[in-house]
Amino acid sequence: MMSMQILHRWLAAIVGLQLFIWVATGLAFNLIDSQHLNGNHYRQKMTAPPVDTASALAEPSQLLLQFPTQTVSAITLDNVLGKALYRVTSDKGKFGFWATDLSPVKLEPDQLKQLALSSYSGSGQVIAIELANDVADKYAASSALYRVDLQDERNTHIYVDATTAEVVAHENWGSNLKQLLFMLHFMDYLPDNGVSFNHIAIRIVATIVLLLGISGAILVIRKLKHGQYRIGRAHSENNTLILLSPDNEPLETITIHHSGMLDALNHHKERIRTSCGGGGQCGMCRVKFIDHPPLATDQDRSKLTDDQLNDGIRLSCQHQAMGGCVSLVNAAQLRHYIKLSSILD
Amino acid sequence: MVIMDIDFIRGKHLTHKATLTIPTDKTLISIGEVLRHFPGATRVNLYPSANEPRYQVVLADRVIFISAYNGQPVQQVTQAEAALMVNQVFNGSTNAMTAKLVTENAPSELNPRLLPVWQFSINDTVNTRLYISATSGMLVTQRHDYWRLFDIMWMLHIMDYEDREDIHNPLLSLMSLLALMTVLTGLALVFVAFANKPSERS
Repeated sequence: MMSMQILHRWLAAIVGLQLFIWVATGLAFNLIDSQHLNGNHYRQKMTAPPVDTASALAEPSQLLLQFPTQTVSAITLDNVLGKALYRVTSDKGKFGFWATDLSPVKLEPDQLKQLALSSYSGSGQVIAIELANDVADKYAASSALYRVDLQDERNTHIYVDATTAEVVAHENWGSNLKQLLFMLHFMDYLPDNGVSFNHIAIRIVATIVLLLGISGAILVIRKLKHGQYRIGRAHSENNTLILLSPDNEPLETITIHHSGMLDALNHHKERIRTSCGGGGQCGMCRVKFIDHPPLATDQDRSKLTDDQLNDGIRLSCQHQAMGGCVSLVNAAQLRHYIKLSSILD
Repeated sequence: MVIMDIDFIRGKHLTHKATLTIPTDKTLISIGEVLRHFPGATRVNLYPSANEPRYQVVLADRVIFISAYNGQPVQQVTQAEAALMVNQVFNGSTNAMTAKLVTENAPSELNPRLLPVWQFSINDTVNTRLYISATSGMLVTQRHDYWRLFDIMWMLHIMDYEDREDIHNPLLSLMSLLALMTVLTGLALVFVAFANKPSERS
């Protein structure tokens, strides 16, 4: 009977922390307004003037000759910083060429800054431009990816690819937080994983969590079947507990103020000591129910022998408070009770 | 969801686009010619359709598609051309394929912004459907039963049982809060259970 409970406990110990992270980050995604996590807070559509035709443009077919071994799926003529350029999309990536002479595009810091600012609607100043090729893969950009930092209240930074003259992404503290939440939610703790939720670690943990849920459900169903769940306080005319010593000498009369038996016995002072605080784990809160002992729970059965159960001994933390007589069951409990009383008196 | 590979769900294995390349055998009409014809063009994109290379011309208020061989405008991609595209990119048999032009009321598995499209039902065991843009003639997306299953799981995941897209719904807030309390109390119990050595039966 108890093996399911031990299994459940061990599964929880193994994956409990990640389960907490899943629920907490999921709740964060649910509660935080998407606007706060939006990297494109200050992103604006770049105004596109008609392509400049003042100088004659080279033909795209000439560009195709430069890619004899690659599959070219598109050649796009665009207008960047007032100059016409071609972007070639092939199976090897994207490449930029100025459309007048087909020279490869390689933006200078000034141009990077200008391009970044044309996509930015905020009022921050550019404070730094740095090569950011360490994150190029993440944005499917070339190794000439630059990061343009702006001084605004969102710490906006704009990624620009110097060889395609494209604004690749806007990020800020909100989108950084979002990435952190995703990293936690996807268990994407390895830096080179990309944003992936299909890796082996998450599959193992998710499987264990599923087993945790199944074992928990089995335990709940079992308890339901055994009538161990009761809703609300048991109805009783008698609102008074009489606590007896192990030799059945009256020690104290206690008025019931709590729904649980242990809490009722420990009203205002710890008459019965526990180390687990009422989790059914330590077995220290055992008392003998003199009249009508309640149905034993799984926890009772795990901590008490059949003889003790037949005697009416139960873990008080597992049962509802009800009026009547209960007695302490051993000398240690009595010693604690007397010591406590003498201190308080 | 973590078991099902996301690229598989997106149907990456269903198609291959590597064969689509701009042909170099015939002369294309000059880009200068295109720009003279459409002086307001802000962007011009040359791409290979199933029939011929085409120019996609982006104007301030609309997008126009013209043949790169003869400059003829392409109003709408024909079923025959769209079927040709499917045959070029689909990894499998298209013998039982049926086609339907969708111009409004996009099916729930398709982003309405992609309309109009030719919907090709492959009628295979996983009900694969390929969507070909009726304006550009290019493959826009592919769907199969595993995608649809994943979409149901996503609905269960975010508890938006109507539109399957609102992650900020109050039901999810409530259930997540309850779940968080459950996990925290559960963790406390685990801590208690392992912090105290089990007492012996007496």
